[in-house]
Amino acid sequence: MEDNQIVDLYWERSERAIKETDIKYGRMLKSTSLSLLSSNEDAEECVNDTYLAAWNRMPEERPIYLGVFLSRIIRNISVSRYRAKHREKRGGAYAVTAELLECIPDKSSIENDFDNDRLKDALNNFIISQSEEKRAMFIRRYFWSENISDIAAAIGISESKVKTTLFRMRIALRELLEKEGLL
Amino acid sequence: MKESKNEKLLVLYEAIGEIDPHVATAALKYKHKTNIKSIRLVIVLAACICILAATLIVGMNLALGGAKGEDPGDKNLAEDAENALTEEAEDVTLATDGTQPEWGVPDIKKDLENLLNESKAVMTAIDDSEVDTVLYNGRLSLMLSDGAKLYFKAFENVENAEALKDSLSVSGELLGGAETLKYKVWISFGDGRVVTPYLEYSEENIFYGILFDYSPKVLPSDEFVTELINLFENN
Repeated sequence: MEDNQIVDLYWERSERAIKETDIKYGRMLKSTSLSLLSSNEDAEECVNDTYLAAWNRMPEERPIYLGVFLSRIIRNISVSRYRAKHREKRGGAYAVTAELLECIPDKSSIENDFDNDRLKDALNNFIISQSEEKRAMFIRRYFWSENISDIAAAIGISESKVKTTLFRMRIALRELLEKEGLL
Repeated sequence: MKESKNEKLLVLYEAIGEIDPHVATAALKYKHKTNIKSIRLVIVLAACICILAATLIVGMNLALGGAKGEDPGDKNLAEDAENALTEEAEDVTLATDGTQPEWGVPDIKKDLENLLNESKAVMTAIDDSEVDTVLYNGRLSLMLSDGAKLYFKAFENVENAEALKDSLSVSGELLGGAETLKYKVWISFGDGRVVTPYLEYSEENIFYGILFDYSPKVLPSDEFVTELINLFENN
């Protein structure tokens, strides 16, 4: 079903909206949450919370990109859950997103200057400056939280190429952040 | 330290979520594209190489063909064969006088061997699997085996084939001889019929296996050698 049709269902307050959202975006949303949270159970709860949030935010809002809209919701929910859990229990796994941590080494001297907004801008600029293919790989991996084999199959290239490209992109991102003085 | 790192992780996680929605959505639509320009370039280059190669091959063939046409070797071949026949006649005379040729074999056989040996230069070596193709190529052809390789040469002059057939008919009987002929020769009429120096043509005397049922202890007839020379001379 097309995004606008699903949004229409939300506007009509049809419960089918949740079912169709789950069919189309359920897997992606769970992966996105799992990329931060290590618990399958937590991720499923985050997905359900996302559906509820989407239900509550529509019809006031009418997202053009439903997938992106839902992704942002689940990221916020997952971060909140992560923080809550982190307070309870130090540590935790963060799977896919943790790959990007190699771009941000521990440097006590700059930690205080860590600028979240600038990081977001730099990340956006980095993504936009990449070739279409590289951008697709990066976004599929770190925004849509797809696994390597799915990315390779979707784009039509080998898994090793995806892995190599992402590895090089992480190095390039790190160099960019260093150049921008964000590290 | 770890806490700080976790905080950065969350910032990154959120930052990625803030990327342009259009860019994020477009990424899902991307499919790997083969570089059409590169393919076109490769095709153009391949075409150029083919044309160049074809030009070179045609040029070389023309050059070789021209050289062959001017090669006095072909004309000399017939002359040599003719001379050999004349010398053979003299040798026969010598033999009548009781003098044996020094090689101990009839001259006509040696002449034929010389002729065929020289003929190989203008013949095409073929594999066993190509024999049937030659038998049905629609042209009069000489097939020759030197014991190691098989050769063939197609002749344009079909009339000589009939003459050759007649020559064989004349010497229809098996021609005796004690020596093993190095060369084995067949004439293919191109329609499946084949004649040998010692057999009249036969509809059945065809195909590879039968062809090689060739008696090595047979001398070619004079008529056969003469017609063979004619074939080379007229082609």
